[in-house]
Amino acid sequence: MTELASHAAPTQASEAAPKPEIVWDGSFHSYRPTDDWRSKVSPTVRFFEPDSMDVDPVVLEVLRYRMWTINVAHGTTIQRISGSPILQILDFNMCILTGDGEIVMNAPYFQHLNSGAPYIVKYILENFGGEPGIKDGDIFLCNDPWIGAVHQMDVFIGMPVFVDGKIVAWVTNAAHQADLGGTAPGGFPQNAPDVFHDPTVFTPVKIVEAGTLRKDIEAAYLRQSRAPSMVAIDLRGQIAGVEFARSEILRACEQFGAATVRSTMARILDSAQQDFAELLKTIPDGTWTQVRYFDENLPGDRRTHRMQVNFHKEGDRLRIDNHGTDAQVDGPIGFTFACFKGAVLGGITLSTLYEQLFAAGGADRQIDWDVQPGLLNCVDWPAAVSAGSSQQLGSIDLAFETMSKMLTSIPGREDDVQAQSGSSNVLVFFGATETVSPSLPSADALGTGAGAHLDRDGIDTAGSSHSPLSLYPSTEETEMSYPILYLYRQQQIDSGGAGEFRGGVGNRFALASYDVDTLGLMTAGSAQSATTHSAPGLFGGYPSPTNETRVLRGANARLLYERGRVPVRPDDFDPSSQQRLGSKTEALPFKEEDVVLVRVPGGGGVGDPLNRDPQRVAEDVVDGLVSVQAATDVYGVVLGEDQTVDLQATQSLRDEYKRQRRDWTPVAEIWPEGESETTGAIGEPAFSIHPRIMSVDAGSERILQCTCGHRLAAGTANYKYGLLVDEQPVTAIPLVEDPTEFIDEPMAFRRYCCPGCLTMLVTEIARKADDPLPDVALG
Amino acid sequence: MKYRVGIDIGGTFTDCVAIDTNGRVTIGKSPSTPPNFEVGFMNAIEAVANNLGTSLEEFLPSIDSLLHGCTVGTNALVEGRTAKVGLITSAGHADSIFIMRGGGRLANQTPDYIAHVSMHEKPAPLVPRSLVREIGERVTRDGSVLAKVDEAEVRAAVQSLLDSGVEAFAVSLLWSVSNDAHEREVGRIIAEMAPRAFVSLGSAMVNRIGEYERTVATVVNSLIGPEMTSYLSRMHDALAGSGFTRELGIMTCSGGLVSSTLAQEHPILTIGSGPVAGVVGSQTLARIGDVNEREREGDKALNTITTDMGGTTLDVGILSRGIPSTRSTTWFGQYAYYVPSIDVRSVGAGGGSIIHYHESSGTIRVGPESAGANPGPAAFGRGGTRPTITDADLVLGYLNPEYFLKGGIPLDLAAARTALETVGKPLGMTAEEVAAAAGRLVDSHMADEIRLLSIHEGHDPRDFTMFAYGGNGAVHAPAFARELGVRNVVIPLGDLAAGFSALGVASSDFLVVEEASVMTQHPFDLEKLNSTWSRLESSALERMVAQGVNASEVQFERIAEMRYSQQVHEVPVAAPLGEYTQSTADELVVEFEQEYARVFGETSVMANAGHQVSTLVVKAVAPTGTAGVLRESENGTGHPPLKGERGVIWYEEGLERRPTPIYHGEDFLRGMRIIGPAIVEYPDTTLVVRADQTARITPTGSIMVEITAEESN
Repeated sequence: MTELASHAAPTQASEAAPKPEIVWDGSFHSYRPTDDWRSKVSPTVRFFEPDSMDVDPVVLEVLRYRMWTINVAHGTTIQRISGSPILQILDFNMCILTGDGEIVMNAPYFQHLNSGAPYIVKYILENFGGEPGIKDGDIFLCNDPWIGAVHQMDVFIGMPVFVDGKIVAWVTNAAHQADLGGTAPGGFPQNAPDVFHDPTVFTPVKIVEAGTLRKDIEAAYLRQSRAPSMVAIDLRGQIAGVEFARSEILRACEQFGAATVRSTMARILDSAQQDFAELLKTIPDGTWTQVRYFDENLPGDRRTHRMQVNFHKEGDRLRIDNHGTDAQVDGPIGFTFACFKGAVLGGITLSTLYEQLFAAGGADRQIDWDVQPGLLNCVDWPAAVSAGSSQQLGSIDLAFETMSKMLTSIPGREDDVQAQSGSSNVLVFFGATETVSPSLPSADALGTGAGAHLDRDGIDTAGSSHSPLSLYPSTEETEMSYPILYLYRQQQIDSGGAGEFRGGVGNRFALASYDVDTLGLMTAGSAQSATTHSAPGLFGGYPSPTNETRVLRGANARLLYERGRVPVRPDDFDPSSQQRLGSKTEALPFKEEDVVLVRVPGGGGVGDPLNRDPQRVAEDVVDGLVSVQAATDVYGVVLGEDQTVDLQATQSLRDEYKRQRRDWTPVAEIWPEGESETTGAIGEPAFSIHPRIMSVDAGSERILQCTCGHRLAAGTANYKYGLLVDEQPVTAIPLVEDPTEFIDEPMAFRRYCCPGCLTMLVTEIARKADDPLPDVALG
Repeated sequence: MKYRVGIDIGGTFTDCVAIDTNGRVTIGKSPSTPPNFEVGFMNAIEAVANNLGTSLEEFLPSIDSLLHGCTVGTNALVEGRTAKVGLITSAGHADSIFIMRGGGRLANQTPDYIAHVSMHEKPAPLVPRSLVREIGERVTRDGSVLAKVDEAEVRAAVQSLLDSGVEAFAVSLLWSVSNDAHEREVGRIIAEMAPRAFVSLGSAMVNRIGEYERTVATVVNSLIGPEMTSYLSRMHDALAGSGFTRELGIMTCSGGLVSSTLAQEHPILTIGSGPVAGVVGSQTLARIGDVNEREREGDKALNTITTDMGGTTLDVGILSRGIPSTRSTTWFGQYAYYVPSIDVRSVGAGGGSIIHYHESSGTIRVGPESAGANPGPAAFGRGGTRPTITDADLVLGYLNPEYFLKGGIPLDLAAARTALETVGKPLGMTAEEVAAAAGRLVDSHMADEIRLLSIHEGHDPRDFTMFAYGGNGAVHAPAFARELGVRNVVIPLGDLAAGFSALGVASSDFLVVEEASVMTQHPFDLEKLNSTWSRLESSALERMVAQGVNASEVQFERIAEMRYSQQVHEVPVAAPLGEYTQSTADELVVEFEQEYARVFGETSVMANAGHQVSTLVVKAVAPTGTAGVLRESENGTGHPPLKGERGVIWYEEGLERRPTPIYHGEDFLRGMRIIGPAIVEYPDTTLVVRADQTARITPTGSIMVEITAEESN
């Protein structure tokens, strides 16, 4: 760690004496506009805001579609000009904002990339409206994570659209860059203690002034990159994108009148806001909490860090806070507020605003962000954040899952309830000389499985839900671009979380180098995907297992081929030694006789695996998606010789497993302090908070009750305290291996069941020392 | 007199076009007769014969080339009437077809579907897992063999598939693009063990890097292979029974014809050939003059957008300077596969698009749902109760309830009105208001979609002439073309526009496309280029000769697909024929840089990035006869006699019904002009000329609509 970092990075952010007022100005803490931010904008900046925002409904519909088209064509323009391989997997996004920075329309690429755009726009308006000024034809660039970028690699380009000297809209995009400096090529330095080891940060600068590219600024920007020509061409693509979108918005203004266009934006936002508010109203008041743990703040670190997000729903509003999260530490493990908000809002948008084509600004109006700075999910300057952004992807899924739990209470929204998809460890190769690209981040993470639903399995090898369109590169394309050989590449048995409905499976592959002596290898993982699990299970489903990366020394694939033994599974190799890799591996030599095995996990399961139709388990076994052992141990399904279900044996095994659950421990015996007071009856109809748990009046009391009729807890309590619990090591999850190889913290896999019907209602992975994790608390 | 005859079998009608040696066009039409399509096929030829004043038997011997666009392969796939296929892949890689490249399965889906992540699905597997076999072998990117094929293992795999009852085989191994020896070896063994089974080899399908898309192509080919073979032999028998013994030419999605024999081996080429034929037909007419004089010269000459608006989709093609855009990837549902194809994109908007009220936004919306042909629009009286664009067109007064398809389908105006009223109720809108809103929305959406597709290709639609056909093309194109800033709309051959693909089929050439991945970095591997060109040309020639084309008539076109080393965009560059030297290679680079700058803009040029040739393409073309359609001189003046007058709502002007002149299509002659607003009724389509637009008939018999106003709301 550098001396500077040790001085600057606060390590104790919470529980201290009264603190001075937090200044959210983007210098130490993140930038967050105050309620009266517009009063700070220079009077020289004028907004185009007509008195009446009325618009003909047909014109509204014409313009809504037009804006969607403009957004997509904006993306096409960027892709066409840049031609960059990174942008082909759609690691960028574009949006249209109002003149004062509300997102009117987002596009269906990486959802979180634009969420900081409102902040960057407001920051520019607030700080630079007077000097250097915001003029027609100006374009701004920014990648400051404390202002609005997800991380430094996702560079924002934004352009105001002027009509009659007033700003009617902003068009912006954010795109991932090949390299912007820092200690590691590609921008994910795993060993960066602070931001000074990260890629370079640019606060907003005017890259184009009145239509002319500022060559001095461009030169300074490109100077930071190891791949200046690629960054240059992507910059041109991004600039051409906003210029195109601006001209199209202006064309719409000419055709329909700027007042109509501006009013349409207002109506789209109002409508999305209203829909989101209506949705929230139908969800019972309460707090939904998610806890996740992150390993390895720096390579080799053995600590585990806690991250918590709380969603408080009251009436038609949502308050989101990060209380309960550990303080920030050195190393690239945390992320800034913009990144946090982007992730959470991205997840909410994906699960609830699809009909509004992602008019995120409307939903954002109903959300209050009650965040505490200095915690891992809201880190202050100068934390290392570029590589920490990989933690953020899991937070999108987390928000998606939280919304799923909330939607469970709304009849008719069952289809939108879904467990998370798998996260993964990205494997990066580097060191080849005669290749176009200096490194190859394996894109196999895009072969993860989707989470299960209430009534159907998750999709096998679906790809990530937060960037649904991203393409999983083919074997031949990858082998063409880098000197490696996929020995096999297939769907991974048991990698979807078990459940009444199973998580989609992920994949596995084995790689050797091809025609090259030595390559380098590194890993970049997130959360606990290398140690305990990947996607959590939902409503009693199992989590999906860990990612596994294992280097087999001396496995010699070439020799196997020569002997006609084509390897198709992990035990086809006979290595001299092997090494399992954690989530942050620094440069590791990879020789021509070595093989690396990787497993990408699938999605989480939903519901008690003992309730799964045995026939479906048998089909999964035949299709190679579930092992015979998991069928027996987890699903309680016994298969005959021909892999058909032995119904009688299955029934008696399942009965036996249920009998064993009777011996699980009442939660209140272990954690007696968790029991709560009773709640009085409220005279409202019953509603669900879980497919099997209802909030109902029972006599004078409001209680949480299993659908079997068993009373679980008081109406506002954490229902887990009324359940029976069984605590196992995480290795009880199929495919999960001993986490103590990487972390010291003892971790537990807890399964909870109803004391009445013995149905498994919830599973969790927690520090052994932690109480049952909060889930939902009504009221 | 000799004839070239094109026949296109559609869902409802089978269209036939005969072009005589002078270029005179005669059309015939007959209902399609599924599943025995050959009946409708013969009837349509007979209809032409009758229109020529002769009989089928007398007409058949005068047919020089009988050319056919068939949808039997497409139908078999869509309806699931496919063969039981066994797939053989490289060991360790069988899952590629199940993984579907993750998010790649969404690439061709609508925004609404993509946005709704929790409702995503993977389609049923093309081949059940139980019919996939892996064989131990491995070839690398440079074609070297790491592990050899074990014949005994292959025999066991083939036998177990035969035991499972497969009728067709698909063999797709890794890197067969670099070395196809293993696939051929497997093919040989299958031929020995199951001489009658239909077999597709990946390397014989397409030579492009990317095992997933190649495997899907191989499987799809085998899925429809047996059905196609049986169809074409029935067709052959039907023709032979009538005394016609020459080989049938079959339209392909590549934009040309192949012999019936080749089509049986590569039935995949027929999928999507119908919309492609429309593009080819447009190309033919544009070349012989169905464009305005000012559009015929300079950089933008013959720039054409084709729009085929039917009941459920709008199919859009783009011809830049008269050359259609091509693509290498096509989709069957969510499955992407490689096939060299003219690029026609479908947008989900047509006469059947459903008009509905969207509650939370409080607006009227159109589509993406469609009533299709069944139940169809409310006005069809086939049980549809939800209003469609056709219902709106009827209520607005565009369509004549008594003259739709020559009165073949009487339209129920009251039913259309009721359906529209129901939708408008929450907003207090009348049937007329809803119809006007829907008309405006659908025209605007289609303009947006066409603009998006043009931008995707790097074009500004204002520089293009639009060809509009399909049953609804003439109704809506004048409106959406105006929205796009297009100045000329051509309704090709007037009433034939409804069955225009047949003309495309009749005016196509024999065409074989051969491709090979080469991947060489500048300075290019000359030996590799030269040997690949010559291999592709001899193989293309062989296929042409095999389908009865005279070798001396074959002309070659070479295309090198090139890119900057660090970039992904490939640009097809016209490559010189003959043996290459270093200076030819350098010429390619110069040509590439110019083309790249033209397509992607000057700022995209990345001079220091290095150049790659990734794929070589050879097109072997042989003309089927004298191309061209007769141009005739004027035979009328003024405007046609008025057929009547109808109150029509022109949504751009308000909701008042404006008395509008109605003309009979048959009365509209060369030399006459119709000034909009006006409606011209043809048996199979209706032309809606909007205010300030002028329509006339071109020398070929097409309708040219000139749009004076650049744009309007």
